[in-house]
Amino acid sequence: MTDLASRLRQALRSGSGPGSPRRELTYEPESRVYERPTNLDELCVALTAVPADTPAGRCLQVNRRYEAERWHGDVQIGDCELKDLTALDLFNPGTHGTSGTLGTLGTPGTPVFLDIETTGLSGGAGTVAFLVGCGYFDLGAFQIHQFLLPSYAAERALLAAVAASVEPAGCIVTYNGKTFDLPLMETRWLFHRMRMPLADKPHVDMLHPARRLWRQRDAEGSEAEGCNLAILERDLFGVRRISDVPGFDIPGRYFRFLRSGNPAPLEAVLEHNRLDLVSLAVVTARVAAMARGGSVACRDGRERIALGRLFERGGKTEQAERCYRDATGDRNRSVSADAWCRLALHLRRARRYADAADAWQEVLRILGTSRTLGTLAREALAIHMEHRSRDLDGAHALALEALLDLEEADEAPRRRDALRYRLARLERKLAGVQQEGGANAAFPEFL
Amino acid sequence: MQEVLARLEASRAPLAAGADPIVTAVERMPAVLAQYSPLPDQIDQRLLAALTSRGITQLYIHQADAIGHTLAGRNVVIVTPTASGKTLCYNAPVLDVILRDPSARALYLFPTKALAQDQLAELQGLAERLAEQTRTDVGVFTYDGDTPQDARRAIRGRAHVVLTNPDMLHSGILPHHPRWAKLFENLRFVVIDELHAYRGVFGSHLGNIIRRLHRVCRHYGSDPVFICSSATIANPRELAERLTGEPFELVERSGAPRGEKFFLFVNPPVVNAQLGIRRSYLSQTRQIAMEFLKRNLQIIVFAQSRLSTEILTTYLKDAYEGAPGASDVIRGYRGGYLPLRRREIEKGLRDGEVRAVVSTNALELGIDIGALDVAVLAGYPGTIAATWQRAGRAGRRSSRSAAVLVASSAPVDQFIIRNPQYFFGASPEHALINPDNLHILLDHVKCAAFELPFKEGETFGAQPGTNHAGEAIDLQAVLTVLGEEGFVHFAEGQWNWTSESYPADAVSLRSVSSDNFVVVDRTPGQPERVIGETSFTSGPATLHEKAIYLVEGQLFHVERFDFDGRKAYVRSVECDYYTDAITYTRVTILDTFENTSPRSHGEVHVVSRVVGFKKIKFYTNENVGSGELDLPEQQMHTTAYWLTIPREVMAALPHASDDRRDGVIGLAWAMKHVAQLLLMCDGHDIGLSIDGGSLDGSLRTGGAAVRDVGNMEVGLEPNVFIYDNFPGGIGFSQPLYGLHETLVARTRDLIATCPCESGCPSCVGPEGNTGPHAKTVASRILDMLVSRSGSEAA
Repeated sequence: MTDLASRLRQALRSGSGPGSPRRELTYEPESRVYERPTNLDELCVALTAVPADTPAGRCLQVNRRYEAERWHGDVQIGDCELKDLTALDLFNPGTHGTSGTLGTLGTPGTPVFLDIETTGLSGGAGTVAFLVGCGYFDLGAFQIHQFLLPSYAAERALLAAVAASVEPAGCIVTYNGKTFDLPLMETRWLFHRMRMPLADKPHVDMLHPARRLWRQRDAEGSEAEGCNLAILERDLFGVRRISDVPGFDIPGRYFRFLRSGNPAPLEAVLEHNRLDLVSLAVVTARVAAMARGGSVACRDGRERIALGRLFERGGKTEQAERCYRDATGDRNRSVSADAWCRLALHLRRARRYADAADAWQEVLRILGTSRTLGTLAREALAIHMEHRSRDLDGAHALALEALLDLEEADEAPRRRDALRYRLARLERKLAGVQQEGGANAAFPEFL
Repeated sequence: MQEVLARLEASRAPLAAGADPIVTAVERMPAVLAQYSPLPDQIDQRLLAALTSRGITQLYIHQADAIGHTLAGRNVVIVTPTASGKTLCYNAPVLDVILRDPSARALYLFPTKALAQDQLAELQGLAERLAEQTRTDVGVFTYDGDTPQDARRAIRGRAHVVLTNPDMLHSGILPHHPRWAKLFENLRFVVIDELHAYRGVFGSHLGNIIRRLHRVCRHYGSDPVFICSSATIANPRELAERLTGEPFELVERSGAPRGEKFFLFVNPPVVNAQLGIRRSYLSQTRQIAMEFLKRNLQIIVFAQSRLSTEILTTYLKDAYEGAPGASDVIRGYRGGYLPLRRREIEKGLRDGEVRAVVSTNALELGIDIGALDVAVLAGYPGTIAATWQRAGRAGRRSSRSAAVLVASSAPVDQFIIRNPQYFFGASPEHALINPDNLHILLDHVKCAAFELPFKEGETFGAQPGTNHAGEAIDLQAVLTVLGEEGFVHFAEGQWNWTSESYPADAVSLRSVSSDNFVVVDRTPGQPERVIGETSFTSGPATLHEKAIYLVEGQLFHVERFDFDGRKAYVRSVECDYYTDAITYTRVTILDTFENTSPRSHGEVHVVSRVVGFKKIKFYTNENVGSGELDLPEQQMHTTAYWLTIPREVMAALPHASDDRRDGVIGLAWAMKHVAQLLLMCDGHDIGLSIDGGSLDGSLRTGGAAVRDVGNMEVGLEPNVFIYDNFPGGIGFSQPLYGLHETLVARTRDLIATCPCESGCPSCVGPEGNTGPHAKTVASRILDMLVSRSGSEAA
């Protein structure tokens, strides 16, 4: 008979389900080094950290300062200090937290930028934030305090230290904090049944405006990379991180530290967390500048279009139109056509039909016979010519072209039916037959 | 009803002299009057008023007992028949405490989502009364896999009573306990309804989930009272105590009234005495059901499997044809139907629009389908408890009702039907659980470590347990092994979870795998749609290519079985046969725990694979064709009891090798069924396999399923394995090892006293399957085994 331990090992490895077992190891199995008490003083020396004393015990604190003159890619830290966060309301209509938008709160205090590193992504009671980074602007410089968990037993101390650090904050700024960082931190405070310092702070999650402004850029180049901070800072500011830790490696590094007591794997994690905080501050400054400055603050037509759409959503139609108009001058033809198209739709919504028709003509002028936007322009112009400018022959020709486009692509059956219906009616009108009741053509709804 | 019963009883006499009787028992259970108790004074006046306004002015005695215990802070388990008002036993104390202290919380566990929905309606009714009369808001919500994400936060904050199931508690609530802090800080009651459903694997999981619940409650400083309700089983208090690790009061004296009730046992007549073939029990069931149906009595028919449910639904629909709208009057019901269809059928039953429903055990639990007149059980449900539970589906109101059990030719059925006193006199089964099954325990220790760090010296469960191999389970040893594998890490006096994974996701409580197969209807001329689903383990056997898949009697042909994509594509067909899969099973011994020739028990490796199928014609059950299949294997490690037939015994048999093989197969067939009776377990809980014996004394592999042994060679020393049908075993093997003598003797008696000539489905299996000498050889082997053990004892 085998002993309990080997039976346990066997049961553990065989798993209970069929198919390949889940891989749950996140580290290279090491020898059984258990009992090496973490020595805070040694850790402080190794990581250039200081002990953070709280009523709930001791954790580790790493302080770093990014002076105003320092460059982050092609921006200087000192230029990124936010004077007025209310501009961000445009992008966060339902600003997180219980307290409404930033604008309604009057002038908020200093924003604190927050980013955490965790032992996993799944959430739940067993996922711990082992590193909490807080950053804020202090006399033009960007000051970072990172709180590190030397062992699980010190979590109450870490939470108390973080609470003290964010206490004076006027608001919290995160990247994807709405779905990840804040709920996770909330869980930790609840776990220890401690008071939550974040609950009554306004919160701005920069992921959402960043996605709206720059996602299309990703769609063309690096879609798989999504819209994470490292990609953004590379595309926006030309920052290239050298030997940055990939996200999936972070929990494993912490577990290795716990088992071995050796803090070396954490150096890179601390640096990664700091770079994310700096990037977050810089991206936030850029977004705020665009919201305040409108079209002139944008670098290219693509940004203008994205910003125009945000203005449109926020009801700021004048700024939106300005963005679209400026973008029509972009050197990239497809960007320019896209801008004309947006402008046309915007004008039509504003019932400026003649202007809209001119814009559609511009789309056709740029794109010639090309599809998608071109087809859209032909459909829109056919409607305009049939009902407003009363150019039945022109309408007929455009509708026919649009139908041919769609038939070739063999898609959008509803739009094709609508075009056939329109063509039949135009033919009757052209033949002088009396007009039949006007079923309105189904204009595509997807824009 | 009287008329049908009289007609049935008239056929009590055998068809011919010397043949078995058709009706073997008529048990009349007289009506019982209600026994009342006044509403206790200490109950909150607002609740009293709400109860009164719903027509409740006094309690049945068992309700009063249960409420008394609960309000005094004692755990209680209530065992009373269906429709005896058990829900009030827990709703009353829970609402009473919430009215006095609005911060108080309660957690209700139901084995299925459907039952939780059912109870929600009832509780909300009471809560609305309270809101109207007293403007007290009592939040009652279900929280399960169907709860929309955006509603979850609100429920966590507002629910006084959370209705959920063990699966959701396991994977959605306990791992997220900080979000439920309010619930756990103020948790006053945990209600476990349908306690008897938690036996075997499912119960062993729940036992561990309750251990986790206890840990979380301790963390938040609460210590809830448990209220359990159970159908009749032999050991309700023991089960409740084993599941929760706490002492319980038992309330089993029912004060509920009951109408007069008849219970009839029917054995289909023998139609071929030589082959021992009886009339098909499904045909017999159809005939009996139609007698009741014709007299406009509302009936429920319980079938043993999904397949026989569908076959019976087809039969009844065919027989009922002619009446308009027949398809809606007779319905099938089983797991795998989509929820909407199930709700529609349940409502039809309550409204009386559905006159007959054919169901698997899916309707055995307390889903509200109203009061039915008659329950017909096609085949013995396998346990006494389940039989009473199904029979209880008829006669929920205080009117006359009947239950009819129609025996199949399976050995267990024939034993029960020929020995009615065994059934009516015996106590129902013990519900066994083994929370210390290593596989189950390991899974839950991981989940528990994820939820809260384990302290040095902490235990998991009331006392250190022992597993089937007799080892003491020491939690710290378990944690040490988990530490070696990197799941946890010990530092500063506690074991912390150090893995990125979310361990609850990897554990499914209901079956080996949480995977399932969906069935997609691709009948041309209509949009593609999902018409059902099947568990991972039963998928290959029911959804292989060319299988006939049945939904409420409608036939579908499986065109493509996408094992990796977990989908089966079917199209509607009309045909007159169904398919039955052939499964091949091989057992290899890994470790022998105990061994006294000829019996052993230990750990085994079981590999099973669906290798083919048979086409079987409706009504005649003719085999009209077959096919081969190539499907992936399913494997598990489990525990088994096995009988090794000694070399001398085999050698002493004056028979050819083929006949010896038939004899061993026949013996195994009978022995498995006797084992099932002795263990009082379900037929699916144990599996059977025979190996080719050890030709060279060391190799113990090979083997086959009993149903497909065409060219198997039986060796000099064959083994008959009866294994626990769950990875890691669920605790049947060791008891069976202890019961070996009884097992062999009873098997011998079953075969010896069977009236057939040379084997029938009720003893060694049908002759066509086992060969002409199976019965003789099996009897000889058993005689020799019995005399050997007798001489050893002497």
